[in-house]
Amino acid sequence: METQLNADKATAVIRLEGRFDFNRHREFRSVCDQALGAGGVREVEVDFGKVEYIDSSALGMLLLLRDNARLANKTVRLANCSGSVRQILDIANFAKLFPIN
Amino acid sequence: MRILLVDADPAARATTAGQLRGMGLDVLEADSGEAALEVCARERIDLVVTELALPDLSGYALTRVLRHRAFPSWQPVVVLTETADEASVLETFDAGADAFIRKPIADRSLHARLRPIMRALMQQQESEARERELQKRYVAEEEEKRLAQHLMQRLINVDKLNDPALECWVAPAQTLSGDLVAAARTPGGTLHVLLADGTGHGLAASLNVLPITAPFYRMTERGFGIGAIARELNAKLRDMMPADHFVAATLVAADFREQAVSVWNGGNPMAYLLGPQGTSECVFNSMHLPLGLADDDGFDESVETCNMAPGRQLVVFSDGLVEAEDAAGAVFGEERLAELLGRARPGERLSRVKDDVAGHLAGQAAHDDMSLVLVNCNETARPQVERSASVTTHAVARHAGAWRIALRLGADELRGMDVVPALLGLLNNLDAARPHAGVLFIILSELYNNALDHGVLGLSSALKHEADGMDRYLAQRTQRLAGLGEGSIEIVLETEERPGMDENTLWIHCRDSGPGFDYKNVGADDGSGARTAFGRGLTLVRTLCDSLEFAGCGNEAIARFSLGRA
Repeated sequence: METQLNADKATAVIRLEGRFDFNRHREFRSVCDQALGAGGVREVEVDFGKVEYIDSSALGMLLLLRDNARLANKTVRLANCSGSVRQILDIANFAKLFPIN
Repeated sequence: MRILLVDADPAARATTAGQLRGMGLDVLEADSGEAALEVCARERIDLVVTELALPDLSGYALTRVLRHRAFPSWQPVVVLTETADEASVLETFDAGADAFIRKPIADRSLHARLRPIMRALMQQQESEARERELQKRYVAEEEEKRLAQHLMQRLINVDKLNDPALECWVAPAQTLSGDLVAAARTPGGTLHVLLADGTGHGLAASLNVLPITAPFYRMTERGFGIGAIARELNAKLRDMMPADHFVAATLVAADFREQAVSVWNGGNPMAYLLGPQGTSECVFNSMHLPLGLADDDGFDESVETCNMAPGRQLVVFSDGLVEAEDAAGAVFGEERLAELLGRARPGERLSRVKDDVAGHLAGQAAHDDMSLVLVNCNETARPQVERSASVTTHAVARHAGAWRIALRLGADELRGMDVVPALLGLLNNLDAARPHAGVLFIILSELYNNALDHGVLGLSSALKHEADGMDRYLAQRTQRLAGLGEGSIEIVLETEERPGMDENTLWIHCRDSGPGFDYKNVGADDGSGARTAFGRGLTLVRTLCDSLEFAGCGNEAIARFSLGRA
């Protein structure tokens, strides 16, 4: 799990890998804090390209990110969601809360 | 640090004791193996320092016994002796001692040799203390769980799950379930079912679902619809739970009289309606956010509705069921569940699923709570609706007297208000009306819905009886109601004590702003497609009331209902 800044420095991309579940809680939190703390960043993108598995605690972590982003006046988007990840997000209708692609 | 020094020779013992005390250690002394064992049994000894030659046991034997007794803990033993040959050294370590130190030894050297042992010993003691602390916390946590489980049992009316129309199975992953199944009937006999899946599992998850049990029962009891109930549960959870907690929920309203089932699904796997041959007749996907996330303005209470004829079965389950993993990590899956349900006969479906899942897990612990609910539309499901033959009012029968409530509902109220529960609430203030709550709910519902649907909104019941007509009917209703500009319904409830009779009578007037119908010629075929026969609802009202009459152009219904003896 790592966070990178895009070329234009306005988007912070968080790349997740493998299982995104309750055990990644602390890691995710610290990476989010990093991304939200970077001045000049207007949007945080969470990249699910390499994620095999998410569960309901992952959804909870995304909700916390969303809340914290709002406080920091930044937006959150979810990218590269496919397969079972997309399925879980669809059942939870998270498209009503996040832009997803 | 407390040392036990074992040496039969008093002089040698005194010297060594002096050295040890000089290091700031607390020293106890023993002059034989037996004495040493006795002291160790009686006192807390951190380290034993022993000579090899003892009058009763050898130093080796003493070491062995001390280690054996302390097991699995570590009792450090150090041999301090003049003997120096290799064989003694080897035997010392074979016996399990931790060091072999030759006497005589200078103070500083002795200290240096003992220090590592004492350090290791302290680490062991800290580790043991942590473990005791963990054990205490574990016990406390088990106690908390026991309490929460007790609460859960109290809050869930388990006996209502014995409803004849319902079969359910809840298998928690741990003692406490984060999945909740609740059921209750509205006063009109509609069965409401809630299947809720809170984030996480165990105590944390069950805490998520506790706040929603009471509103579910209360609102169902008062006759609110599942959309309104979902809105309330959502608001409650939003208020009470932290941002990352939510509850996936499926709410079901099964109306066995109208033979229709409505579902609100936010975040659970799809529910589906199975026909008697096991084919899927209707699917209810998750259309909404789970409860606790949307704010009240953005909350969508719309439900999906499907006809449910006798012999149909609604299947509702939580994701733990389809995601149950076997030893190889393969999930049970929706396809397997659907296939199994399709194959089995309706009465066997629940037990077949239980068996199949158990087989799939093959002894593995499930890592998520599993729930499965089946709602059966059959004869026993239909609510028994009848007038109470003899109504006994309270010993102190309050005079109903002249009690009157008049309401005028305009377009805004018709759109936004849950009218029938409100009316029933008002009526419940009347002691004499309370025993008849169930029947009155049906009467008020039918009269009001008739006035709204046909009078104000101009809908035709013919649509309801077609194949997937219910859904289309309700869609049309929602659309027309949302766009309603003008229209009104006036309702008057009043009691009358008839002179000469000691009976209380309740009059219900319901007048809508619509064009009415030709009530004088009910049954006649006027060819224009307008209402010429009473629908099921009004026919039912007729049987429940003493009389049902119409006035005006047919847009006013007047029902008379006896409340029993005054």
